[in-house]
Amino acid sequence: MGIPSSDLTSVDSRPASLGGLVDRPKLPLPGNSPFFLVHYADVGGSWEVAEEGLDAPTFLPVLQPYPIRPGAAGVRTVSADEPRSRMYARPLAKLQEQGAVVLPLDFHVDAAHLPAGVAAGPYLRETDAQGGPFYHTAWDTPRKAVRGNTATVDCDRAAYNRWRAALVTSGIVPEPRGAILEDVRARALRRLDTVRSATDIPTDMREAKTAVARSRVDAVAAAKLPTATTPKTAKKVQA
Amino acid sequence: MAVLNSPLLAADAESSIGRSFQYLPGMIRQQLAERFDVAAGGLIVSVGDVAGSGSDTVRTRRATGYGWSKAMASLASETQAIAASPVTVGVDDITIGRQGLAFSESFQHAIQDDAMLKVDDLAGYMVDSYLATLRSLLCTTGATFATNSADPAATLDVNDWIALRADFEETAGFDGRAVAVLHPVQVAHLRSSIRSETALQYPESFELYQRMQAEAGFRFTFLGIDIYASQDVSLSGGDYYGFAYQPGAIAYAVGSTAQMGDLSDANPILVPEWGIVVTRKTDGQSATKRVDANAFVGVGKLDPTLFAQFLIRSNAT
Repeated sequence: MGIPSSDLTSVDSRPASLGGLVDRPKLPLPGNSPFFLVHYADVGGSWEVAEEGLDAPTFLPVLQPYPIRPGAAGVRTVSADEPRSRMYARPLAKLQEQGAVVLPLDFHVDAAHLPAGVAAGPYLRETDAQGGPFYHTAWDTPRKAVRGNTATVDCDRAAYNRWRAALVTSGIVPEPRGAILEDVRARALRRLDTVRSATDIPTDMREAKTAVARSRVDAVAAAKLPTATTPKTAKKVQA
Repeated sequence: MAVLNSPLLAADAESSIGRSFQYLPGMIRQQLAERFDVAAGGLIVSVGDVAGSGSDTVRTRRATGYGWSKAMASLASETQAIAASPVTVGVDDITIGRQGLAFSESFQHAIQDDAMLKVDDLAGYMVDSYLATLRSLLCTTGATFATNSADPAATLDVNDWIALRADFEETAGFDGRAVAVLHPVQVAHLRSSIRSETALQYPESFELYQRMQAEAGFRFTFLGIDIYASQDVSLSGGDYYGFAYQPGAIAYAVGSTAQMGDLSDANPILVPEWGIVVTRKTDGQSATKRVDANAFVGVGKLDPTLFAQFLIRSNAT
């Protein structure tokens, strides 16, 4: 070991630690609670049709956040020496009893199913907000809203859709019974009927709305459940 | 010493012996905040109190298979035996959690403060914070409704509202009263859609649906459903998680603080019916004082077979 030099010109410098000295920007949002993602099987609206990021219209499972917040929806406050997971043990058991598919908090998502530049890891991510941590999915990018004292979230739906398709092809989310998909089709048709029969709006507007509703019906009619050939990563855009 | 030459100028005096600004004494304006009280609006009902029960959960019981839900069987013969019917039962849990908010200050801050921001002043606002918490818990709970009624592929529109009304009406036993809690952006989407429908032809309706309204919860009634709005409505995956329900579907329970025993050393404020206890602590050694508010309250949902309830998940953009 060398003798420390008294020559001040040779002292190494390093980037100053600015911890606490510089405010990091925070989103103008109240903090929220962490959540796990749940797929309620066998209820209306538990499947939807999406096409973004996929080759064709595809039935995908709806994943709903279930917040882990003591005092809300069955989550309890635990004592200091209890495992934190006991907070949500009871609602989790109830969800599983009802046949819901619950993705655990440590469920790993490959980088291939995430937006470009987002590291592989759990689906739950957090961003600093004025009211505490703001939890969101790995496909969400929270940002300050252009107007108003609030923030909003941009979602990479293409990557999110591909991941949801993969949950089905890998068997994590079981395929629904036919009646659930029929319900999606029936609602699309009902929507088309409602739009088409709206005689109280200008003709051009009705036609435009009808065209959208009809293309939706067509997409739902053509939609299939995900298969192993559903793209796993973003397709290259051809010039 | 500064020299002020004649004519004496305010611009010179201000920098040497004047002030560049002054505060109105004893007055501070609170930043805009949502003041939507879900308890006063009847959006949430009480199911009771866990104090002295040995539990953190109020369990409510439900049953069906009799009365209006069970018609008699028509019998084919004079002597055919009537098959005995079952009764179906279930339970719903409302579990309390501990909610908290605290402020502390130095003695010196308490001495110098002229803006009514002493912790004793702030303690007076704890009940408002409690109501904001109750609202937030309501929105958190509503976001867990399982059945979605809106089209998640698009922003909220009139057709979603027609579908929602149909979903309510098609629920056997629905009693005709429904409320919805939406994100303000969802309300804006719905209004935008309403505008392209009948509204322009009926000025009264246009005024009713589109007029500016206070940021205090209730917006307007559309197709018989009372629409409330809150920034607390969940946002995830690019979608808002608004919700609609028959009042009664979301309930709260408290842990009454009435029987906490002697807290006189903490000079407490108790609001037992809401499970609130506010305590104070003074520490001369570090020359600080603090006020802690604890609330023992929980919000939960009752089964959809008791009260119709639907998620209104729609696109955020």
